[in-house]
Amino acid sequence: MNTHETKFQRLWKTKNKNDEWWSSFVTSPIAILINMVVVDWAWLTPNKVTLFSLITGLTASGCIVIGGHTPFVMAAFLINISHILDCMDGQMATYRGVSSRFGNYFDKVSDQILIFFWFSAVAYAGYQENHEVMPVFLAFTGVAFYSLRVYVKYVTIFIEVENDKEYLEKSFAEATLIREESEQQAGPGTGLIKNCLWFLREQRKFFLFNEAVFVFMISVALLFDQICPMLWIFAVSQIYFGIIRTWQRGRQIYLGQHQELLKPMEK
Amino acid sequence: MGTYLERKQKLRETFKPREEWWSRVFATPLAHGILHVVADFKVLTPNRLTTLSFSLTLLTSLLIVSGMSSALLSAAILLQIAYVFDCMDGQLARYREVSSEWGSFLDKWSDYVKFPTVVLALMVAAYSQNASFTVIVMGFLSVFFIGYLPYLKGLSQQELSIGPWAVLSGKNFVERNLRFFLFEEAQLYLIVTICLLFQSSYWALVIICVTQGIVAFVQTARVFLLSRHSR
Repeated sequence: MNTHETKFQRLWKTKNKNDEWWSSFVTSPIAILINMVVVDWAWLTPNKVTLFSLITGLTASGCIVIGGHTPFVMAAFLINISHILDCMDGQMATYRGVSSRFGNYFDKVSDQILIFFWFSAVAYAGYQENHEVMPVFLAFTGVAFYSLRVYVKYVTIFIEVENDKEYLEKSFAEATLIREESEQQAGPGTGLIKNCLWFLREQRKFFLFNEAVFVFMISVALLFDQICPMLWIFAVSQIYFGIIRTWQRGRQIYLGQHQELLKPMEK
Repeated sequence: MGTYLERKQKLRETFKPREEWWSRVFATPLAHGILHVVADFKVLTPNRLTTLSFSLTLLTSLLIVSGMSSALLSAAILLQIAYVFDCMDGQLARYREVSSEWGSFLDKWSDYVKFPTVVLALMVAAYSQNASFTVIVMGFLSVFFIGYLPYLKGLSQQELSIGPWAVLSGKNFVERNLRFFLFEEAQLYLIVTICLLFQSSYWALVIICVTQGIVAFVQTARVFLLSRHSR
Protein backbone atom coordinates (compact mmCIF):
# COMPACT_ATOMS: atom_id res chain seq x y z
CA MET A 1 0.00 0.00 0.00
CA ASN A 2 2.77 2.37 0.95
CA THR A 3 4.61 1.88 -2.31
CA HIS A 4 1.33 2.42 -4.15
CA GLU A 5 0.85 5.76 -2.45
CA THR A 6 4.27 7.00 -3.52
CA LYS A 7 3.63 5.96 -7.08
CA PHE A 8 0.45 8.04 -7.06
CA GLN A 9 2.29 11.01 -5.63
CA ARG A 10 5.10 10.67 -8.10
CA LEU A 11 2.54 10.57 -10.89
CA TRP A 12 0.71 13.56 -9.46
CA LYS A 13 3.98 15.48 -9.66
CA THR A 14 4.09 14.92 -13.41
CA LYS A 15 0.77 16.73 -13.73
CA ASN A 16 1.26 19.93 -15.61
CA LYS A 17 0.85 22.84 -13.15
CA ASN A 18 -0.64 25.17 -15.69
CA ASP A 19 -3.06 22.63 -17.07
CA GLU A 20 -6.00 24.02 -18.99
CA TRP A 21 -9.43 24.22 -17.42
CA TRP A 22 -11.23 20.92 -18.11
CA SER A 23 -8.02 18.90 -18.07
CA SER A 24 -6.82 20.43 -14.81
CA PHE A 25 -9.42 18.70 -12.63
CA VAL A 26 -11.10 16.16 -14.91
CA THR A 27 -9.12 14.57 -17.72
CA SER A 28 -5.67 15.00 -16.19
CA PRO A 29 -6.56 13.34 -12.83
CA ILE A 30 -8.32 10.53 -14.73
CA ALA A 31 -5.20 10.18 -16.85
CA ILE A 32 -3.15 9.83 -13.66
CA LEU A 33 -5.49 7.12 -12.39
CA ILE A 34 -5.12 5.18 -15.65
CA ASN A 35 -1.39 5.74 -15.60
CA MET A 36 -1.31 4.12 -12.15
CA VAL A 37 -1.97 0.89 -14.00
CA VAL A 38 -0.34 1.33 -17.37
CA VAL A 39 2.64 3.62 -16.79
CA ASP A 40 5.02 0.70 -16.33
CA TRP A 41 3.89 -1.29 -19.35
CA ALA A 42 7.05 -1.26 -21.37
CA TRP A 43 5.39 -1.77 -24.76
CA LEU A 44 3.22 1.29 -24.32
CA THR A 45 5.36 4.27 -25.24
CA PRO A 46 4.21 7.90 -24.87
CA ASN A 47 4.26 8.31 -28.64
CA LYS A 48 1.94 5.34 -29.04
CA VAL A 49 -0.42 6.95 -26.53
CA THR A 50 -0.39 10.15 -28.62
CA LEU A 51 -1.18 8.07 -31.68
CA PHE A 52 -4.11 6.40 -29.88
CA SER A 53 -5.32 9.84 -28.85
CA LEU A 54 -5.21 10.98 -32.46
CA ILE A 55 -7.04 7.89 -33.70
CA THR A 56 -9.70 8.16 -30.99
CA GLY A 57 -10.21 11.83 -31.81
CA LEU A 58 -10.55 11.13 -35.52
CA THR A 59 -13.05 8.35 -34.79
CA ALA A 60 -15.02 10.86 -32.73
CA SER A 61 -15.24 13.26 -35.67
CA GLY A 62 -16.37 10.33 -37.82
CA CYS A 63 -19.20 9.70 -35.35
CA ILE A 64 -20.20 13.37 -35.45
CA VAL A 65 -20.37 13.28 -39.25
CA ILE A 66 -22.59 10.16 -39.17
CA GLY A 67 -25.01 12.11 -36.98
CA GLY A 68 -27.92 11.01 -34.82
CA HIS A 69 -28.29 10.77 -31.08
CA THR A 70 -26.26 7.63 -30.36
CA PRO A 71 -23.24 8.60 -32.51
CA PHE A 72 -23.26 12.04 -30.86
CA VAL A 73 -23.16 10.51 -27.39
CA MET A 74 -20.39 8.20 -28.53
CA ALA A 75 -18.47 11.12 -30.01
CA ALA A 76 -18.79 13.13 -26.79
CA PHE A 77 -17.39 10.13 -24.94
CA LEU A 78 -14.57 9.53 -27.44
CA ILE A 79 -13.49 13.18 -27.45
CA ASN A 80 -12.97 12.99 -23.72
CA ILE A 81 -11.11 9.68 -24.04
CA SER A 82 -8.89 11.26 -26.66
CA HIS A 83 -8.17 14.15 -24.33
CA ILE A 84 -7.41 11.81 -21.43
CA LEU A 85 -4.91 9.97 -23.64
CA ASP A 86 -3.49 13.33 -24.63
CA CYS A 87 -2.84 14.11 -20.95
CA MET A 88 -1.45 10.63 -20.33
CA ASP A 89 1.34 10.79 -22.88
CA GLY A 90 3.03 13.80 -21.29
CA GLN A 91 2.67 12.38 -17.78
CA MET A 92 4.06 9.04 -18.89
CA ALA A 93 7.03 10.66 -20.63
CA THR A 94 7.85 12.81 -17.60
CA TYR A 95 7.38 9.90 -15.20
CA ARG A 96 9.71 7.67 -17.17
CA GLY A 97 12.09 10.54 -17.90
CA VAL A 98 11.89 9.89 -21.64
CA SER A 99 10.48 13.25 -22.76
CA SER A 100 11.64 13.81 -26.30
CA ARG A 101 11.43 16.74 -28.65
CA PHE A 102 9.75 14.55 -31.21
CA GLY A 103 7.14 13.50 -28.66
CA ASN A 104 6.41 17.09 -27.75
CA TYR A 105 6.12 18.03 -31.40
CA PHE A 106 3.89 15.08 -32.28
CA ASP A 107 1.66 15.90 -29.32
CA LYS A 108 1.18 19.50 -30.42
CA VAL A 109 0.64 18.76 -34.10
CA SER A 110 -1.97 16.13 -33.25
CA ASP A 111 -3.78 18.62 -30.99
CA GLN A 112 -3.99 21.15 -33.80
CA ILE A 113 -5.19 18.55 -36.30
CA LEU A 114 -7.84 17.25 -33.89
CA ILE A 115 -9.24 20.71 -33.21
CA PHE A 116 -9.64 21.19 -36.92
CA PHE A 117 -11.31 17.82 -37.43
CA TRP A 118 -13.65 18.20 -34.47
CA PHE A 119 -14.89 21.60 -35.46
CA SER A 120 -15.20 20.64 -39.13
CA ALA A 121 -17.31 17.65 -38.12
CA VAL A 122 -19.43 19.74 -35.76
CA ALA A 123 -19.89 22.35 -38.48
CA TYR A 124 -21.03 19.64 -40.87
CA ALA A 125 -23.47 18.28 -38.30
CA GLY A 126 -24.79 21.82 -37.76
CA TYR A 127 -25.24 22.22 -41.49
CA GLN A 128 -27.15 18.94 -41.70
CA GLU A 129 -29.63 20.13 -39.06
CA ASN A 130 -31.40 22.69 -41.22
CA HIS A 131 -29.13 23.18 -44.22
CA GLU A 132 -27.91 26.61 -43.27
CA VAL A 133 -24.29 27.60 -43.77
CA MET A 134 -24.07 29.68 -40.59
CA PRO A 135 -22.59 26.88 -38.43
CA VAL A 136 -19.90 26.25 -41.05
CA PHE A 137 -19.10 29.91 -41.24
CA LEU A 138 -18.83 30.18 -37.45
CA ALA A 139 -16.58 27.14 -37.13
CA PHE A 140 -14.47 28.50 -39.98
CA THR A 141 -14.04 31.86 -38.24
CA GLY A 142 -13.32 30.24 -34.90
CA VAL A 143 -10.64 27.92 -36.21
CA ALA A 144 -9.01 30.73 -38.22
CA PHE A 145 -8.80 32.97 -35.17
CA TYR A 146 -7.65 30.11 -32.98
CA SER A 147 -4.81 29.58 -35.48
CA LEU A 148 -4.01 33.28 -35.33
CA ARG A 149 -3.83 33.06 -31.57
CA VAL A 150 -1.34 30.21 -31.82
CA TYR A 151 0.56 31.97 -34.60
CA VAL A 152 1.16 35.06 -32.45
CA LYS A 153 3.08 32.80 -30.11
CA TYR A 154 5.28 31.47 -32.91
CA VAL A 155 5.80 34.78 -34.70
CA THR A 156 7.24 36.08 -31.44
CA ILE A 157 9.66 33.16 -31.41
CA PHE A 158 10.68 33.74 -35.07
CA ILE A 159 11.42 37.40 -34.41
CA GLU A 160 13.22 36.90 -31.12
CA VAL A 161 15.37 34.05 -32.47
CA GLU A 162 16.39 36.24 -35.39
CA ASN A 163 17.87 38.77 -32.98
CA ASP A 164 19.06 36.46 -30.25
CA LYS A 165 20.27 32.98 -31.15
CA GLU A 166 19.89 31.87 -27.53
CA TYR A 167 16.33 33.08 -27.18
CA LEU A 168 14.86 29.56 -27.10
CA GLU A 169 17.24 28.38 -24.37
CA LYS A 170 16.65 31.53 -22.34
CA SER A 171 12.88 31.36 -22.57
CA PHE A 172 12.98 27.66 -21.71
CA ALA A 173 15.04 28.45 -18.59
CA GLU A 174 12.58 31.20 -17.68
CA ALA A 175 9.65 28.81 -18.04
CA THR A 176 11.38 26.22 -15.85
CA LEU A 177 12.08 28.86 -13.21
CA ILE A 178 8.45 29.97 -13.15
CA ARG A 179 7.30 26.36 -12.91
CA GLU A 180 9.63 25.65 -9.99
CA GLU A 181 8.52 28.76 -8.13
CA SER A 182 4.84 27.90 -8.30
CA GLU A 183 4.11 25.51 -5.49
CA GLN A 184 2.14 22.32 -5.59
CA GLN A 185 -1.22 23.91 -4.99
CA ALA A 186 -3.36 20.83 -4.72
CA GLY A 187 -3.37 17.07 -4.80
CA PRO A 188 -2.75 14.35 -2.24
CA GLY A 189 -1.56 15.60 1.14
CA THR A 190 -2.56 19.25 0.79
CA GLY A 191 -5.83 19.03 2.71
CA LEU A 192 -9.46 19.27 1.74
CA ILE A 193 -9.92 23.04 2.08
CA LYS A 194 -6.86 23.81 0.02
CA ASN A 195 -8.05 21.43 -2.65
CA CYS A 196 -11.51 23.00 -2.70
CA LEU A 197 -10.04 26.51 -2.98
CA TRP A 198 -7.77 25.33 -5.76
CA PHE A 199 -10.76 23.82 -7.55
CA LEU A 200 -12.67 27.08 -7.31
CA ARG A 201 -9.72 29.13 -8.49
CA GLU A 202 -9.25 26.83 -11.47
CA GLN A 203 -12.73 27.75 -12.73
CA ARG A 204 -11.45 31.10 -13.96
CA LYS A 205 -9.51 29.23 -16.63
CA PHE A 206 -12.78 28.41 -18.37
CA PHE A 207 -12.70 31.87 -19.90
CA LEU A 208 -9.40 31.20 -21.67
CA PHE A 209 -11.40 29.18 -24.23
CA ASN A 210 -8.52 26.92 -25.17
CA GLU A 211 -8.32 23.31 -26.21
CA ALA A 212 -9.54 21.72 -22.98
CA VAL A 213 -12.53 24.06 -22.92
CA PHE A 214 -13.31 23.04 -26.52
CA VAL A 215 -13.44 19.40 -25.42
CA PHE A 216 -16.02 20.30 -22.80
CA MET A 217 -17.97 22.64 -25.11
CA ILE A 218 -18.19 20.12 -27.94
CA SER A 219 -19.24 17.28 -25.63
CA VAL A 220 -21.99 19.36 -24.03
CA ALA A 221 -23.19 20.63 -27.41
CA LEU A 222 -23.39 17.07 -28.74
CA LEU A 223 -25.18 15.70 -25.69
CA PHE A 224 -27.79 18.47 -25.59
CA ASP A 225 -27.98 19.09 -29.34
CA GLN A 226 -26.92 22.73 -29.03
CA ILE A 227 -24.41 22.89 -31.87
CA CYS A 228 -25.18 26.35 -33.20
CA PRO A 229 -25.07 28.22 -29.85
CA MET A 230 -21.80 26.45 -29.04
CA LEU A 231 -20.29 27.52 -32.36
CA TRP A 232 -21.30 31.12 -31.68
CA ILE A 233 -19.48 31.03 -28.35
CA PHE A 234 -16.50 29.41 -30.04
CA ALA A 235 -16.26 31.98 -32.84
CA VAL A 236 -16.73 35.04 -30.63
CA SER A 237 -14.26 33.85 -27.99
CA GLN A 238 -11.61 33.06 -30.60
CA ILE A 239 -11.99 36.43 -32.32
CA TYR A 240 -11.57 38.06 -28.91
CA PHE A 241 -8.44 36.08 -28.06
CA GLY A 242 -6.95 36.44 -31.54
CA ILE A 243 -7.12 40.20 -31.15
CA ILE A 244 -6.05 40.28 -27.50
CA ARG A 245 -2.98 38.07 -28.01
CA THR A 246 -1.92 40.13 -31.03
CA TRP A 247 -2.25 43.27 -28.95
CA GLN A 248 -0.33 41.86 -25.97
CA ARG A 249 2.64 40.44 -27.85
CA GLY A 250 2.64 43.32 -30.34
CA ARG A 251 2.81 45.81 -27.49
CA GLN A 252 5.71 43.99 -25.84
CA ILE A 253 7.61 43.90 -29.11
CA TYR A 254 6.79 47.53 -29.88
CA LEU A 255 8.06 48.65 -26.49
CA GLY A 256 11.04 46.27 -26.64
CA GLN A 257 10.24 44.56 -23.35
CA HIS A 258 12.74 41.75 -23.75
CA GLN A 259 12.34 40.40 -20.23
CA GLU A 260 8.58 40.08 -20.74
CA LEU A 261 9.13 38.46 -24.12
CA LEU A 262 11.13 35.65 -22.52
CA LYS A 263 8.18 34.66 -20.36
CA PRO A 264 5.95 32.00 -21.81
CA MET A 265 2.56 33.33 -22.82
CA GLU A 266 -0.71 31.49 -22.95
CA LYS A 267 -1.51 30.97 -26.57
CA MET B 1 27.93 61.65 -59.03
CA GLY B 2 29.63 59.63 -56.31
CA THR B 3 26.60 59.83 -54.08
CA TYR B 4 24.41 58.49 -56.84
CA LEU B 5 26.65 55.44 -57.28
CA GLU B 6 26.88 54.97 -53.52
CA ARG B 7 23.12 55.04 -53.26
CA LYS B 8 22.81 52.55 -56.08
CA GLN B 9 25.33 50.26 -54.44
CA LYS B 10 23.53 50.52 -51.11
CA LEU B 11 20.22 49.74 -52.73
CA ARG B 12 21.72 46.72 -54.41
CA GLU B 13 22.90 45.37 -51.08
CA THR B 14 19.38 45.46 -49.69
CA PHE B 15 18.17 43.43 -52.63
CA LYS B 16 17.55 40.06 -51.09
CA PRO B 17 15.41 38.16 -53.53
CA ARG B 18 12.90 36.07 -51.66
CA GLU B 19 13.25 32.43 -52.35
CA GLU B 20 9.69 32.07 -53.48
CA TRP B 21 9.30 31.37 -57.12
CA TRP B 22 6.89 34.01 -58.37
CA SER B 23 8.24 36.64 -56.02
CA ARG B 24 11.74 36.15 -57.40
CA VAL B 25 10.49 36.44 -60.97
CA PHE B 26 8.14 39.37 -60.55
CA ALA B 27 7.51 41.23 -57.31
CA THR B 28 10.99 41.58 -55.84
CA PRO B 29 12.64 42.95 -59.00
CA LEU B 30 9.72 45.33 -59.50
CA ALA B 31 9.87 46.45 -55.88
CA HIS B 32 13.58 47.04 -56.31
CA GLY B 33 12.97 49.15 -59.40
CA ILE B 34 10.41 51.31 -57.64
CA LEU B 35 12.71 51.72 -54.67
CA HIS B 36 15.32 53.33 -56.93
CA VAL B 37 12.90 56.21 -57.26
CA VAL B 38 11.18 56.38 -53.90
CA ALA B 39 13.80 55.13 -51.44
CA ASP B 40 14.53 58.59 -50.09
CA PHE B 41 10.97 59.87 -49.80
CA LYS B 42 10.60 60.73 -46.15
CA VAL B 43 6.84 60.04 -46.15
CA LEU B 44 7.42 56.41 -46.92
CA THR B 45 8.49 54.41 -43.90
CA PRO B 46 8.73 50.61 -43.94
CA ASN B 47 5.88 50.28 -41.43
CA ARG B 48 3.68 52.57 -43.50
CA LEU B 49 4.39 50.41 -46.53
CA THR B 50 3.36 47.31 -44.58
CA THR B 51 0.17 49.02 -43.48
CA LEU B 52 -0.52 50.22 -47.00
CA SER B 53 -0.05 46.72 -48.38
CA PHE B 54 -2.34 45.34 -45.69
CA SER B 55 -5.06 47.92 -46.37
CA LEU B 56 -4.85 47.36 -50.11
CA THR B 57 -5.32 43.64 -49.61
CA LEU B 58 -8.35 44.25 -47.41
CA LEU B 59 -9.73 46.57 -50.09
CA THR B 60 -9.13 43.81 -52.64
CA SER B 61 -11.17 41.43 -50.50
CA LEU B 62 -14.05 43.89 -50.45
CA LEU B 63 -13.85 44.26 -54.23
CA ILE B 64 -13.93 40.48 -54.64
CA VAL B 65 -16.99 40.24 -52.38
CA SER B 66 -18.81 42.87 -54.45
CA GLY B 67 -18.57 40.43 -57.36
CA MET B 68 -18.91 42.93 -60.20
CA SER B 69 -16.74 42.09 -63.19
CA SER B 70 -14.95 45.46 -63.23
CA ALA B 71 -14.32 45.13 -59.49
CA LEU B 72 -12.82 41.69 -59.99
CA LEU B 73 -10.49 43.06 -62.65
CA SER B 74 -9.23 45.84 -60.41
CA ALA B 75 -8.97 43.39 -57.51
CA ALA B 76 -6.67 41.23 -59.63
CA ILE B 77 -4.34 44.15 -60.26
CA LEU B 78 -4.55 45.64 -56.76
CA LEU B 79 -3.56 42.33 -55.25
CA GLN B 80 -0.28 42.31 -57.17
CA ILE B 81 0.40 45.96 -56.30
CA ALA B 82 -0.18 45.16 -52.64
CA TYR B 83 2.25 42.28 -52.91
CA VAL B 84 4.92 44.50 -54.47
CA PHE B 85 4.57 46.92 -51.53
CA ASP B 86 4.90 43.97 -49.22
CA CYS B 87 8.24 43.13 -50.82
CA MET B 88 9.37 46.76 -50.62
CA ASP B 89 9.05 47.22 -46.88
CA GLY B 90 11.89 44.87 -45.95
CA GLN B 91 14.20 46.27 -48.62
CA LEU B 92 13.45 49.83 -47.54
CA ALA B 93 14.08 48.99 -43.89
CA ARG B 94 17.47 47.48 -44.76
CA TYR B 95 18.34 50.42 -47.01
CA ARG B 96 17.61 52.94 -44.27
CA GLU B 97 19.04 50.61 -41.61
CA VAL B 98 15.89 50.93 -39.52
CA SER B 99 14.97 47.23 -39.31
CA SER B 100 13.11 46.67 -36.07
CA GLU B 101 11.43 43.84 -34.22
CA TRP B 102 8.19 45.77 -34.34
CA GLY B 103 8.43 46.14 -38.11
CA SER B 104 9.11 42.46 -38.41
CA PHE B 105 6.12 41.61 -36.22
CA LEU B 106 3.84 43.90 -38.21
CA ASP B 107 5.05 42.41 -41.49
CA LYS B 108 4.70 38.78 -40.45
CA TRP B 109 1.41 39.26 -38.65
CA SER B 110 -0.19 41.11 -41.53
CA ASP B 111 1.09 38.49 -43.99
CA TYR B 112 -0.57 35.85 -41.86
CA VAL B 113 -3.91 37.64 -41.68
CA LYS B 114 -4.04 38.95 -45.26
CA PHE B 115 -4.33 35.76 -47.22
CA PRO B 116 -7.14 34.10 -45.26
CA THR B 117 -9.08 37.33 -45.70
CA VAL B 118 -8.71 37.04 -49.47
CA VAL B 119 -9.78 33.39 -49.33
CA LEU B 120 -12.78 34.33 -47.24
CA ALA B 121 -13.74 36.93 -49.86
CA LEU B 122 -13.31 34.36 -52.65
CA MET B 123 -15.52 31.97 -50.73
CA VAL B 124 -18.28 34.53 -50.27
CA ALA B 125 -18.07 35.52 -53.95
CA ALA B 126 -18.12 31.92 -55.15
CA TYR B 127 -20.99 31.09 -52.81
CA SER B 128 -23.11 33.96 -54.05
CA GLN B 129 -22.67 32.68 -57.61
CA ASN B 130 -23.19 29.05 -56.79
CA ALA B 131 -24.70 28.30 -53.40
CA SER B 132 -23.10 24.93 -52.89
CA PHE B 133 -21.79 23.41 -49.71
CA THR B 134 -18.54 22.42 -51.46
CA VAL B 135 -17.55 26.08 -51.76
CA ILE B 136 -17.80 26.57 -48.01
CA VAL B 137 -15.89 23.38 -47.31
CA MET B 138 -13.10 24.40 -49.69
CA GLY B 139 -12.85 27.84 -48.10
CA PHE B 140 -12.76 26.26 -44.68
CA LEU B 141 -10.05 23.78 -45.69
CA SER B 142 -7.94 26.42 -47.43
CA VAL B 143 -7.91 28.73 -44.44
CA PHE B 144 -6.97 25.86 -42.17
CA PHE B 145 -4.10 24.78 -44.43
CA ILE B 146 -2.85 28.33 -44.86
CA GLY B 147 -2.82 28.80 -41.10
CA TYR B 148 -1.44 25.35 -40.44
CA LEU B 149 1.72 25.68 -42.55
CA PRO B 150 3.25 28.60 -40.58
CA TYR B 151 2.22 26.78 -37.42
CA LEU B 152 4.09 23.70 -38.57
CA LYS B 153 7.06 25.85 -39.41
CA GLY B 154 7.09 27.54 -36.00
CA LEU B 155 6.55 24.33 -34.13
CA SER B 156 9.32 22.46 -35.90
CA GLN B 157 11.66 25.36 -35.35
CA GLN B 158 10.87 25.61 -31.67
CA GLU B 159 10.55 21.96 -30.76
CA LEU B 160 12.89 20.31 -33.21
CA SER B 161 15.15 23.07 -34.54
CA ILE B 162 14.19 21.93 -38.02
CA GLY B 163 13.46 24.38 -40.77
CA PRO B 164 11.21 22.27 -43.00
CA TRP B 165 11.27 25.08 -45.52
CA ALA B 166 14.99 24.60 -45.98
CA VAL B 167 13.89 22.19 -48.69
CA LEU B 168 14.73 23.31 -52.23
CA SER B 169 16.60 26.36 -51.03
CA GLY B 170 19.57 25.52 -53.27
CA LYS B 171 20.85 28.17 -55.60
CA ASN B 172 21.04 26.01 -58.73
CA PHE B 173 18.58 26.46 -61.52
CA VAL B 174 16.67 23.21 -61.08
CA GLU B 175 16.10 23.57 -57.34
CA ARG B 176 15.14 27.19 -57.67
CA ASN B 177 12.45 26.31 -60.15
CA LEU B 178 11.29 23.22 -58.30
CA ARG B 179 10.23 25.62 -55.58
CA PHE B 180 7.30 26.28 -57.87
CA PHE B 181 5.73 23.18 -56.36
CA LEU B 182 5.82 24.56 -52.83
CA PHE B 183 3.01 26.99 -53.75
CA GLU B 184 4.07 29.71 -51.39
CA GLU B 185 2.54 33.05 -50.64
CA ALA B 186 3.51 34.94 -53.79
CA GLN B 187 2.24 32.16 -55.99
CA LEU B 188 -1.08 32.02 -54.19
CA TYR B 189 -1.54 35.69 -55.00
CA LEU B 190 -0.65 34.90 -58.60
CA ILE B 191 -3.23 32.13 -58.73
CA VAL B 192 -5.89 34.44 -57.30
CA THR B 193 -4.97 37.16 -59.79
CA ILE B 194 -5.18 34.80 -62.77
CA CYS B 195 -8.49 33.33 -61.66
CA LEU B 196 -9.92 36.80 -61.04
CA LEU B 197 -8.92 37.81 -64.55
CA PHE B 198 -11.00 34.87 -65.72
CA GLN B 199 -13.77 36.00 -63.33
CA SER B 200 -13.75 32.75 -61.45
CA SER B 201 -13.36 32.84 -57.70
CA TYR B 202 -14.51 29.24 -57.64
CA TRP B 203 -11.44 27.93 -59.44
CA ALA B 204 -9.14 30.04 -57.30
CA LEU B 205 -10.61 28.28 -54.29
CA VAL B 206 -10.24 24.84 -55.86
CA ILE B 207 -6.58 25.37 -56.78
CA ILE B 208 -5.65 26.92 -53.43
CA CYS B 209 -7.42 24.22 -51.48
CA VAL B 210 -5.87 21.33 -53.40
CA THR B 211 -2.31 22.67 -53.59
CA GLN B 212 -2.22 23.78 -49.96
CA GLY B 213 -3.68 20.48 -48.85
CA ILE B 214 -0.98 18.53 -50.66
CA VAL B 215 1.81 20.79 -49.41
CA ALA B 216 0.50 20.63 -45.83
CA PHE B 217 0.38 16.85 -45.97
CA VAL B 218 3.83 16.47 -47.53
CA GLN B 219 5.48 18.94 -45.16
CA THR B 220 3.95 17.25 -42.11
CA ALA B 221 5.26 13.90 -43.31
CA ARG B 222 8.68 15.43 -44.03
CA VAL B 223 9.00 16.92 -40.56
CA PHE B 224 8.03 13.57 -39.06
CA LEU B 225 10.72 11.76 -41.04
CA LEU B 226 13.35 14.41 -40.32
CA SER B 227 12.58 14.46 -36.61
CA ARG B 228 13.03 10.71 -36.36
CA HIS B 229 16.60 11.15 -37.60
CA SER B 230 17.31 14.21 -35.46
CA ARG B 231 16.56 12.55 -32.14
